[in-house]
Amino acid sequence: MSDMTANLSTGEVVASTRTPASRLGYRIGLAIVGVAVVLAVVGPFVVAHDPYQQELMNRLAPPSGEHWLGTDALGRDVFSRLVVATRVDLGVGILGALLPFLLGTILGCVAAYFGSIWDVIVMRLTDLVLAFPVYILIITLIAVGGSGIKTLLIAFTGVGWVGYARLVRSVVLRVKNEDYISAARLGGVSHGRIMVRHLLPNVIRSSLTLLVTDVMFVLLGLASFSYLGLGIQPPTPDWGAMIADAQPYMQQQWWLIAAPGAMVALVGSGLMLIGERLDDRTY
Amino acid sequence: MPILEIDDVSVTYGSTRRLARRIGTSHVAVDHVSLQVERGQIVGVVGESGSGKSSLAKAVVGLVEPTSGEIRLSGQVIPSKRPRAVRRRMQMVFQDPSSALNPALTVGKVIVELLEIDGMGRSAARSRAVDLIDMVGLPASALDVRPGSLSGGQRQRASIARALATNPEVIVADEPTSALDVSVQATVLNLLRDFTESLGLGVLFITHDLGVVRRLCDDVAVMQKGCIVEHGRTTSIFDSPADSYTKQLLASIPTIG
Ligand SMILES: Nc1ncnc2c1ncn2[C@@H]1O[C@H](COP(=O)(O)OP(=O)(O)O)[C@@H](O)[C@H]1O
Ligand SMILES: [Mg+2]
Repeated sequence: MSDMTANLSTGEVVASTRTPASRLGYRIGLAIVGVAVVLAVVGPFVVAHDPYQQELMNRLAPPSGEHWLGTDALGRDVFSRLVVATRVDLGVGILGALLPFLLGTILGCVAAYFGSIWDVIVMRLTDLVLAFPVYILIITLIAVGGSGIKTLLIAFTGVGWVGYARLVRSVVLRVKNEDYISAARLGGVSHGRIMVRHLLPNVIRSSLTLLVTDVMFVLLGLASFSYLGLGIQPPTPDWGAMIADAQPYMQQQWWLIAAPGAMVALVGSGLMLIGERLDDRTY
Repeated sequence: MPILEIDDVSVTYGSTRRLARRIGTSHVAVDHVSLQVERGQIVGVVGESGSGKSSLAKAVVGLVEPTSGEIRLSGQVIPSKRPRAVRRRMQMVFQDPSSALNPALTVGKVIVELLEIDGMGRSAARSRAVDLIDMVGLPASALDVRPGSLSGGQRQRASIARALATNPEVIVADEPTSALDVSVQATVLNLLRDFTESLGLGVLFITHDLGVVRRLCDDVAVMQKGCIVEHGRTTSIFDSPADSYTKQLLASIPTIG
């Protein structure tokens, strides 16, 4: 009767591959991204200056108690612009990663679960997207749809879903033959409910890792396209455009380019550190 | 009238593709098998690995489609596309405790979900789930843990509770104890025996273990290469086997008990 007395509350001990270094990296990543998120959420309400307010008599002012990061070429407060840019970039970055995550997860799940024609259609679509170089595809979409956030989101989604679809498909192909899925079918659970309730929780973990690293790639892509003037349009502040605007003043007013540059680098590395740790945990 | 009638059922894999049949990759796993199970009776199907036992089990509950024959439940022929209500009348207990329960869901969620399909309200379903888990000898707290925190024997008990959640008339148990320690096997087998009698179930019990058959089963069918080579009362087959394969199997059980 040993199985009756076994302690119900003790979970299995999972062998840990985490090193202190990766744990430290993960914490640093969390701290950076955490600060950026707080900045993005509450920052715009508490900054002292209007990020759109031009003050042409006070252009390119150096950092001071009044303007923490000085003012830009149009006399706008750089710190306020940086804070609002954090909201814009993180928001678009997260959305630009979430949309492909959702689309890819749904399509991968349907393809693997129902198989046959569904699988053929979804897999041919992924082949089609993969056959094109990513940036050519995005630039083509921008050429057709015009620059701006909406086009970029459509482009990132159109390209990004493929990774999730393939990943989720491979996991669902394995999981769908587990006995507990058969048991749910025998119990009368519908296909839709099986996918949402029984398959997805087992699948979502692996694609979450991809999601975090994807936020980083979308963020970098967004900054690059905005730098080129193809992304977020002025006067909305954004890191990429701020870097582009600051370029002529790199010699004298170096902080104008250093501040948004540091934000891109910091948040990018922070996301990468978190993603790496999640990766360790999944496998 | 038998509660379950398996009438001339065959299962062929790879048969839906004409090419597969032509070049001979199609494979007959179950070959014109007929069996009956009465209410309150456990019928054993015994045979070595690969003899088609699991395929027969899956065909009975509807997880694979038989290529011929029919299955009747209380005399009614089951249509090949089973409506949900019909599917729920036969449940299965699986062999592998690590795959039988969803690792992402608590046992309670799984059982409550099945009860709610019957139109039961949330709280009624919850208290019925507590009854069910109690019937299989687990504490109510087992409902709130994921299967990762349960031992193999506890998981098989939970699987039996889940199988009973739909109020089935027939349970197909596919080697439910072969992954368990011998000491734990007995408790799970006793549970099945008790429910067969108290709930009037018909149980098709699949195993490769003749010792278990002798302890548990009223009738036994011996399966070899997809065919039933001998079928009858367990006692008479153990006392005077007619088929040479059966004699061989019986000769191979250790004679301790
Ligand atoms: N899904 C499947 N596709 C093709 N062949 C299968 C499949 N499942 C089982 N088989 C084959 O059918 C035969 C019977 O297998 P199975 O029913 O699992 O036997 P048992 O449960 O007695 O070990 C085996 O030869 C096996 O390889
Ligand atoms: Mg088997």
